[in-house]
Amino acid sequence: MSIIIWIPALISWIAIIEGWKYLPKSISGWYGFVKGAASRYVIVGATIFFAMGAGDVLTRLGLPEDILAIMLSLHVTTWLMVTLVGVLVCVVGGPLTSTATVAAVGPVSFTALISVGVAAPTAAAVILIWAATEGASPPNSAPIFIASGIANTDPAKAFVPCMIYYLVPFLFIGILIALRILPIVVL
Amino acid sequence: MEIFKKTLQVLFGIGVVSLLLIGTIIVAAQLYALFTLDGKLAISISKKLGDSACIAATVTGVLGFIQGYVFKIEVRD
Repeated sequence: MSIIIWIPALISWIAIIEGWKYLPKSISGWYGFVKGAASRYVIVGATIFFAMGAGDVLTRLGLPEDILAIMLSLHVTTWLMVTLVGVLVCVVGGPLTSTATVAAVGPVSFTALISVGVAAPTAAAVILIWAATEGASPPNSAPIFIASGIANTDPAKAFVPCMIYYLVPFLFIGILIALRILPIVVL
Repeated sequence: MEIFKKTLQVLFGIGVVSLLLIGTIIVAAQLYALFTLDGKLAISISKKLGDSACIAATVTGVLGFIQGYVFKIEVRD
């Protein structure tokens, strides 16, 4: 089941049912209504299309593998390795989804964290925290595009605030957890 | 130019409607499959119509983007 199909379809039907009395009652009215929806696609439609394309190209060019090779060739201290792994996961999460990010760099990131003394449950938790920032990092960030489409705003202008107020803080939260400065509870 | 504009609008309208219809068919079929525990139906409907939904969404998105230039639609910041 694809959330990409479920969310638009369900939201559309919920909106149609909820706002039925406000909807046009004639074919020409519906035509004008759909025609008016074009403004929502002006920026979002093209940006999401090209962003997804760019994300796919970066993946096909081997971005995760290249960054991973560079990272594994380094011999660094614990805090620097944790920071590098965090940045790696967040950067790879840009063009990829969180699932693809974990699949691409999760195992090696996990090994890298374990090798510098991070506990296994903590390593798994911080990788998930970093991978979960993919929705706030360009180019492949569907939540930003969807929210911008609803608000009829330019998604490109949301990228920097999302990265400053969401991605960077979560990167640091993950680092602090991995360095045992912030505690986590393992059940 | 007017014919081009009209064609764009009509194709965009067809795209939006077909996108909603295909999405609805997929969601309805998968919802039914969920309640009847029919995994094969859930997967097959997605395989059969998933690509069509994505193509319709892509074409509609690009048509909307072109309309933005053709009709000089303003976007809020």
